[in-house]
Amino acid sequence: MEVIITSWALNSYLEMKHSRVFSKAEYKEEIRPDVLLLKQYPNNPKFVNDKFWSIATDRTGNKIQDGYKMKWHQVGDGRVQLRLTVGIFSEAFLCEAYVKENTKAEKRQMARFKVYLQKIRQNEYVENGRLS
Amino acid sequence: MTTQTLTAHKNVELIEIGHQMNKVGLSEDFVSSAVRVAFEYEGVYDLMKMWSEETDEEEKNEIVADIQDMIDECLQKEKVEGTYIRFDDLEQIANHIRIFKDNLRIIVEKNGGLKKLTVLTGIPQPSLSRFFSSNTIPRRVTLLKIARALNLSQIQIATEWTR
Repeated sequence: MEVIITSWALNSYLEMKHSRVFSKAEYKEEIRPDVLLLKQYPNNPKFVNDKFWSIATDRTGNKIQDGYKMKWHQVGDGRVQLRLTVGIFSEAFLCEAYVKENTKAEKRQMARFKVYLQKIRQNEYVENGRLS
Repeated sequence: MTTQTLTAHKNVELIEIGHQMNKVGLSEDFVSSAVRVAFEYEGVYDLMKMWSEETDEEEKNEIVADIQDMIDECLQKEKVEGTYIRFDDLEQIANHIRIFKDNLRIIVEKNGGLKKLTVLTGIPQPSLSRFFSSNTIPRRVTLLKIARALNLSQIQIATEWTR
């Protein structure tokens, strides 16, 4: 499966890189290899581990169609919980990465994710590269 | 792909929330765009509902900034192949964007600050605050609104990194 980097992912990486949410080593040794697993989706045991991969749900608890979250725990010096929203279609679309803060912020993030998924379905998005 | 169709009940709800937003001082420009986009995008409808049910002012402001982000996102009407950026270049780009936004902020402050800019552009203040504090690539549409409002030249808003 191709892994597409959208402008939403790029912008969130920019924000996190500048805020030093994660180190270069964490990115290269942990985050990037995990994201690359999407190339073989769903054929990796990590995709059945709900601490790593789960279906996204909206503010009412309903499943978000085609929407998933990749999760990392205790990332960076701030030991934060990092999330990456991913749209799974015939290709995997990296949407927005964010630090999980609280329930309200999470619900807002999921609302944004719904918009991104709709934009992908409508073929109205910016592709900033493919992960290889 | 057909666009999300909301029920008539949801449409009425959105119009009511729009009225509430206008009553608390959000610009007609923002409110009408928010309602229009929420008719089509369930994610924006969700944000409007969260705004109407929220009591904490800080959280309401974050929701407003999210709605403005999504209004801008929805201007994208085709697939575009953007610039490919290597991970190792991200920090340099983020620094470049930071300097650009800091310089623009100085100009804004000399022209009455964010509050005045909100009035002149119709962009909600929480959204402008997020624009200046974040390191994300600025949207051309936002830069043009700021330039028009403050009578800035194209050179003053020129940056290598826009979307």
